[in-house]
This record gives sequence, C-alpha cells and structure tokens, in this order.
Amino acid sequence: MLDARNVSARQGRKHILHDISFSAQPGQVSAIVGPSGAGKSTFLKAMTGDLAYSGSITLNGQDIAQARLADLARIRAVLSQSTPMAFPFTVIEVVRLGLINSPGQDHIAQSALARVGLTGFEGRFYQELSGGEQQRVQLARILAQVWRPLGDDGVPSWLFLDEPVSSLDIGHQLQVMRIVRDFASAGGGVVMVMHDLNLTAMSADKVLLLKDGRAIDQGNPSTVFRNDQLSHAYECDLFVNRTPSTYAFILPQSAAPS
Amino acid sequence: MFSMDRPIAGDRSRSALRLTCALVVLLVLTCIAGLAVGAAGTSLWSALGDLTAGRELSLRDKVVLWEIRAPRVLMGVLVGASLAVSGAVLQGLFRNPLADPGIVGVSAGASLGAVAAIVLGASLPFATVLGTWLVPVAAFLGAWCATLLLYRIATRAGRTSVATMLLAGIALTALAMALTGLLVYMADDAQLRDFTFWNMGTLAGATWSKISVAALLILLPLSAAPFLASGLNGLALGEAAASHIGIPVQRLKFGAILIVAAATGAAVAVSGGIGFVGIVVPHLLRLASGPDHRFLLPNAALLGASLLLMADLLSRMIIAPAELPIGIITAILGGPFFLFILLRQRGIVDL
Repeated sequence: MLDARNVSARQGRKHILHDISFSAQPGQVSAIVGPSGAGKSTFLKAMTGDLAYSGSITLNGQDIAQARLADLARIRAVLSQSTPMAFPFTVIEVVRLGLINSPGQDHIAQSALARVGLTGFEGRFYQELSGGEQQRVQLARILAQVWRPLGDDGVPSWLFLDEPVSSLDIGHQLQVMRIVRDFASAGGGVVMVMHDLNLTAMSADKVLLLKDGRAIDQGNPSTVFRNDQLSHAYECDLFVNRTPSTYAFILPQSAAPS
Repeated sequence: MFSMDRPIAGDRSRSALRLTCALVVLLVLTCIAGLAVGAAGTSLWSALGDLTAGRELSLRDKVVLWEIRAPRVLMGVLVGASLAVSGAVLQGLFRNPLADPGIVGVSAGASLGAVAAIVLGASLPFATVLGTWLVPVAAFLGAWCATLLLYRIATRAGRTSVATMLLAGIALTALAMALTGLLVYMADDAQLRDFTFWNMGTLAGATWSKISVAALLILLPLSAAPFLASGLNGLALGEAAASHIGIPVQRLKFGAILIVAAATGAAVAVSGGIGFVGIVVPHLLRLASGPDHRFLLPNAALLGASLLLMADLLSRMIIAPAELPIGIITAILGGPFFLFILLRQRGIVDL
C-alpha cells in the first residue's frame, strides 16, 4: 500500500503542504481533489519523489526517500500533466521509453497503444499529435512501464497520474477512467489528481480533499463530497445530489441569469 | 532487441543500422581520398602498385604518405568524430538540437584552457609532470568549467531555456575570449608563436606524436558515450519523467558533461576551433533515422569523421597548393545550416 504520514513541504519560506496523512490501497482507485493551488500536484510530487518533504512516505513498505530510482521505476509509473518531447520521436519510440529497463519486452508497446485506443499511430510523429493524443501516448508509455498490475511475487504496481483527463474529450475521459479501473481491478494501485468532481465521484474508491495545503477530509466520495465541505473547500455554493445509480454528482449553484 | 520479423511502423532501428553500414563505407572512401589527394604529386595508387610489386617506396613518397597524409587523415577522423559526438551528447543533455560546443561557449572555454597552458605553462607547478599532455588537459578543464557553468545558468528545475542557453553561450564565449586576449597580451614572443600555430585551427600540423596524445583523450569519451545512449533517450521526456522511468539523471548529466568536455577539449587542443560539425551532423542523422541515441551516437561519429575529412579535402583543393584553414570551410557551410534550423524551429525555440 501507499502510506504517507505527516507530510509537510515548503517552497522557500512558504508552507505548501501541512502535515498531510493519507493512505491508498492496491486494488482501489484513489483521487486527490481540491481547488487550484490547494497542493494536489505538489502532494503527488512528494509521493513520486520529485519534492523534498518532511514526514514519511512508503510505497509497498519501501521508504521512497531511500529507494533506488530503478527499484521505484519497477513498481510505479508517473504521468505528468503534459510531457513535451525534445526531438522528433515517433509514437512507438515514445511508448518504448517506458520499457527502457525491460529489455526484450518491446512487444508490450503495441499492446499498450491498443489499450489507449491508438493502434495505427505507431509511425506518427509525437510532436504532430494533438494535446489529447499526446497525453494518451504518454499514458500508453507508463502502462507499458508497469504492464502487470500485480507481479508474480504478489507485489502491486502503482500508477500516479496528474490530471490524466485534463486535455481529453468526454469519451476519452471515460476511456481513461476505464483503464485505471481495470488496472486497479487486476490488483494494482492508482493515485490520481483530479479536477472534475463528478468524474471523480464516478471513478474513485477513495478521495482526499485538500485546501491550502491541508487535508480537509478523506474517504469514500459519498462521505467526503458533502455540500458544506465542498462549498467551504472551493469557496462557492455547491450542491451534492445522487444519480439514480447512487453516484454523487455536484451541481454548481450560480446566480440565475437575469 | 532487434527482432527479425516485419518491422513495426515508426520503428526506425533497422534503417538506422543500414545507415551505419553506409556510413562505414563512406568513411573508408573519404579516408582513401584523404590519402590520395594532396599538394605533393605523390600518387597513392602508384605507391600501392610499388608496394604490391615488392619495390621500395621512394623516401619522398614515404614521407608524404606516412608522415603527412596518414596522420592528417587519422586526426581528421578523431576530431570529426569527437566534435559530432560531443554535439549529439550536448544536444541530448540540453534537450535541444541547437546546442553545439562551438556556439554555447564550450569550445571557447577549451581555448581559454589551452591558451592558459601555452602562456602560463612554464610557471604552473604540474607542467613538467604533464609534458605534452598539458595543453589538452587544460583544454579539457576549460571545456568542463564552461559546460558546468552553462548548465547551471540555462537549466532551472530540469528544464532548459533555449534563449538563456544561447545568450549565456554568447556571454561565456565573450568572457573566455576576453580572458584569452588578456593572456595573449601577456605572452612573450615564443609563446605567441606557439599560440598562433595552435590557433590556426587546421589539421595540417598533425603528427604521430600529437595523435598519440589526442587519440587517448578522444577515444576515452567516444567509447564511453554509447553507455549514455538510452539515458539520453529517456532524458528527452524531461528530467522528472526520466527519473520516473529509472534513469539516474544526476549521474547521467555528470557523465554527459564530462564526455562533452573531454571530447571537445581534446579536439580543440589538437585542431583549434572547428565549428558547426557538432550541429550539422546530428541534425542530418535525426532527419534520416530518428533521434534514438543508441544509433545516433555511433552514426554521428562516423558521419562527423567523414564530413571533416571532406571539409579538409576542400580546404586543400580550393586554393592549392596553399590551403585554407578548415574552420573557415566548416563555418561557411555550417553557419547557414544553423540559421536554417533556427528559422524552421522558431515556434519550438520560443525565444
């Protein structure tokens, strides 16, 4: 499992994370939500080892501050909000970068592309794709990196995703959510930063709600997503309702048009 | 790694390997041309004919072929390969096709080191220990300092600003040239003579003794470079993403800077300033077979060597029997090429 305890971080003199404790289980999809500037991506960066922090973060029992990069790369893959590439790589060449430490596994690259619905894009130049297509190519790359959600030894793999659907249309948003659900169902763990509360309510087993670098609440979306809590976090009136299929959905309550 | 079944679209590894074979042939041909062409009337073919017939070569032919042309060709191969490979590694490090040791100040740093060694040489405590190695080692140190400084300035939080890189390169070059000028001003007549010969930037002064020093300094970084190849591929994703796929980014950067400094330093120490090879060669190869450094680095060494030999042939032929400094030829051909890349990339460069 992923276990973060009393994680704090500062940028210069400013505290950007205050004493956050959070855990995520393999087999589940966990999401981090909160308004812009709440520290969602910062907290994700701490968990992926890109940010110095105080407190402790362990992944599958390994302290990530002590673990070797190559060992971490075997059990977790990270998707950034966007990944501009230097040099004109083709799509298949980009996906194979995820297999850089798995010699002889190049065939996985094509399966990963098929998983994100980009079969036939192998020979296209990455730089010529749309932002959404680039994001899916990078998703294929990180899926290839941790292709098996659960290793032979029973050790789960993890996906850390920073706003994986931000540049996608609704069809592909749902596709990506299906992919992460399949990954979790097969025994892997998923931690993702999300903006869209409704998509999060539909897709996540657990949410962590952040505001100003502090954890406001965490747990099942139906318990975390409450009118008062969300309205406080986002500083606007939000109204939580239930769809017939029991997912929470959140309607913004704006002033009626005059 | 390279399966024999039908190639996948977008997988350019096979065409890159075919290119390697073609480049080997090209290098052999240019080497032969380098041995065959020269101001003296010596013919490689009649010399070979004499040798196969068991006849002794004339002293003149022996000197021309063995003491003048052969070391010159070998020096051209070494310098061309090291310039092209250091260009490719520097571009991989900065994640930008416009990084060239000559443009971003690395060569100027090497020059400063070399000139400091020539002028201050006698007064340096370890000068006698290093002997003929003094100038190349000083050039390496100069190039190393320049590359480190440039990286510190141009790269923030793992991202290189191209504008900052090019502008910092201008400033570093100006600073290094000013300090070089100061040293030249201090130099006595004998040192000035040494400096002038070194500064001409040609392959003309190649001798076997010079090569023995340069070969080691150049072959070490060239044989180390392929070990960086897959790391540099990963670095194309950016520093953070590269470390996420398990690449030890700090070690990779340190190694790349060391290799660039050693290869550029040695090339500058033996041949003065020869520009643009490091930018033209990797760019042509990326167009031909993609940016995968596992193929780009060896192919750059081969094409760099061939191109420099061709430029050297031109420099010997244009105003024969006199010759132009080779640096002029590479700058005349490479300068417009650099501008062409800059203009084509204007959107990406984002100045």
